[in-house]
Amino acid sequence: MIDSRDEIDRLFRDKLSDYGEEAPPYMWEKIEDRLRQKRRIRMVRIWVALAASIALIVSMGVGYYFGQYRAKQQVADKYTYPESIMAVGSEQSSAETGQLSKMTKDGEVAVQQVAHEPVNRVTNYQPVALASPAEPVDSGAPVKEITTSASFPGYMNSRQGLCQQNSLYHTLLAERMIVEPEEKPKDSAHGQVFLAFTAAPLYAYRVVNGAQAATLDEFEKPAVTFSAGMHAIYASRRFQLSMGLYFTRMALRIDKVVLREVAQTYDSYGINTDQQSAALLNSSGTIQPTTRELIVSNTELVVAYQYPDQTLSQHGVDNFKASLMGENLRNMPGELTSLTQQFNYLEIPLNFQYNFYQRRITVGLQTGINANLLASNSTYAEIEDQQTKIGQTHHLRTFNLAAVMGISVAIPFTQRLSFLVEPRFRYYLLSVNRNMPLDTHPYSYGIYTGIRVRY
Amino acid sequence: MTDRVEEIIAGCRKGDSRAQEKLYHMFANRMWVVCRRYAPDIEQARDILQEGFIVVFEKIHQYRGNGSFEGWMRRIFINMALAEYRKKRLLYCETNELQLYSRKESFEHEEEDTYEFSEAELLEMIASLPPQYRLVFNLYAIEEMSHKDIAQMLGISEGTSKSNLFRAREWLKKKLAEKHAGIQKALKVKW
Repeated sequence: MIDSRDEIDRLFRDKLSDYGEEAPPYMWEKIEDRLRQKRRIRMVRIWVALAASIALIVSMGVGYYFGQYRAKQQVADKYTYPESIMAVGSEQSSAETGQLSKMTKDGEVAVQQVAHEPVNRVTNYQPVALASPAEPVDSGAPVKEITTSASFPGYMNSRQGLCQQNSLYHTLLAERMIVEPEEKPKDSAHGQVFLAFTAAPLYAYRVVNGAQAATLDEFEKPAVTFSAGMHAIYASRRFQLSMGLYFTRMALRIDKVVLREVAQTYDSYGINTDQQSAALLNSSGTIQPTTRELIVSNTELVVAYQYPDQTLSQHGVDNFKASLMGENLRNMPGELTSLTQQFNYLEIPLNFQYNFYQRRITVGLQTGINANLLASNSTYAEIEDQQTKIGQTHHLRTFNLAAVMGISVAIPFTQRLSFLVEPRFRYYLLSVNRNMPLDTHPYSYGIYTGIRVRY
Repeated sequence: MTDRVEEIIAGCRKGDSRAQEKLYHMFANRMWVVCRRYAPDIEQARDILQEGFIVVFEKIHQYRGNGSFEGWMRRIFINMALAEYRKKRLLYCETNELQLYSRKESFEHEEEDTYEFSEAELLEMIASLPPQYRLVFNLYAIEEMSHKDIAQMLGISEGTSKSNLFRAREWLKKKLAEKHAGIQKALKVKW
C-alpha cells in the first residue's frame, strides 16, 4: 500500500528518473532543419556586422581626412601672407632696411640695396606656379641667395597648394581615402578567455599647466590619430581582466608656424648655422629640426634657440626672438604651415571591467592603467599636402603611465564572435617631457571597434 | 555506434552534424520523458524537446565536463519547460480541485497486493497533474530539489511550494488508488 509521502516520492523517482520512452518520430529532421536555418541567420549576421565594421572604419577615415582638411583650411583662411611670399617679378621693399627684394623666375629672391624711397608693400601679388630654374633671371643681379629648392624639395610650390584648398580637398578624398582594415576582431561568456582585436581613431590633445598655457592653447590644436592592437580577456561572472599590446599614436598640431630655409654658410643674420639650428618650443618640448638649414619659427608663440642637448634658457629664447624679429630675417621667404608632433607609444593595457548589463548584449564599465613605452617621436610639417618629417621633439619621457576609463559594449553575432564597441578616455599621468618647466599631460578620446573571439 | 560520449560531445562542439545526430539519438528518449513530465500536453512536450536540443547544441561549449552530461542536458530541458510555464502561467487557472477529494475517501486499500505500476502509467499520472503541482512535484520528488530552490525558480513562496507538493501527492495518491481499484475490479471480474 502506497500511502506515506516518501513512498510516493520514491515510487515516482525510482521509476521515472532514468526512464526513456520513444521520442516522437521525425523529431531529428525538424531539429536539423532548425539548426540549418539558424546557421544561415548567423552567417547573415556575420556579414552584416563585417559590413557595419567596414562602414564605421571608412566613415572614421573620411572624418580623419576631413578633420585634417578643416585644420588646414583654417590656417589658410586666417593667414595673411607674409611679405616674404612674392609672385614672380613682383617687388617688395623694406622701409627700415632700404632693401629691395625681387622674386626671380627660378624661385629665388634677389635682395638689392636701393636708394630710392621704399614702398613697403607687395605688388602684383598672385599665387603662382614657379618657373623652372632653367629660365633666365629677369631681375637685377642677386646679392644673396637665400633659398635653394634643392635643399627642400617642393617647398616653393606649396604656396600654390595653399591657395587651392577646395580642389585639393576633393583630390585628397579621392586619392587618400584609404580604408584601413585595422582589426581582425573576434567574440564572448564567464570563466572564459577571449582574444580581442580593436582599433580606433583618436582625438588627441593635452592638458598644460604653466605660465604660458593660455598662449599655447591659442596655437596648439588637437590632432586625429589612431590606436590599434589586441588584448586577451579573462572573464569571470560579471568581472573581466584584460591585458594586451597596442600601438597608440598621440599627437599635437601646432598651427601658424613658419618654416624658413637658411643657407648653411649664411651667417650674416646673426645665426651661426654651423653649430645650431633654430627650434620651436611648445607645450610638449623643443622641436629641433634635423636639418640645420631649417628654422621652425613662430614669433607669436614661444621660439627657442637652443644649442643641441642643452636645456633651454630664457636668455636663449629672448635672444633668438630678438634675432628673428630683427629686420634681416623679415625678408626671408617662409613657408606657412602647421606642424604635427607625433609620439608613438607601445602600450600595455591592464584593464578591469565590471559588466553591469549582461543579457544578449553585454555592457560594462572599464578602468585601468596602461604602461606606455615611447617607440618613436617625429615632427612633421604639412608641405604640399604631404607630411614631411622635419625634426624631433627633445627630452621626451620614454616611459609613461596612462589612466584609462571607458565603456565596453559586446554585441554577439555568433556563438564565439562578438562585435565590440568601446568608447575610451585615456589620460597620461606623467608629464610628457622630463625637462620642461611646463607640466603637459596628453589625453585622448576614441571609440574602439573590433571583434572579440572566445578562445 | 560505439562512440564514446566525450567524442560525440567534442564533435558537437565543432558543429559536426553527424555528431549532433548521434547525440540526439543517444539522449532523445530520456529527454522526451523529462519533457513529458514537465509539459502540460504532448504538443508542448514536442516543442520543448525540439528547442531544448537546439539550445543543447548551441551551448554545448559551456559544458565543462564537471558532472554528468545527461544531468547538464536535463537541466536545460527543465529550464526550458519552466520558462514555458512562466510565459503561460497566467493562462493556467488556479486549480483547487483537491476539494473534489476528501482525505477519508482516498485509498484505503485493504488488499496487500503486489501490483506494480508501469513507468508509462506513472508518467501519465504526472502529466495529468495541474501545472504548478506537476512542476513542484517533479522538482521536489524526482529532481530532489529543496523548497527554497523551487520557490526561487517558480517565483512563488516556500509555503506555496510546500502546499503544492502536498496537494500533488494527494492527487497522485488518489490516482494510484483509482488505478489500483480499477485493476482489482478487473481482476475480480475476470475470475
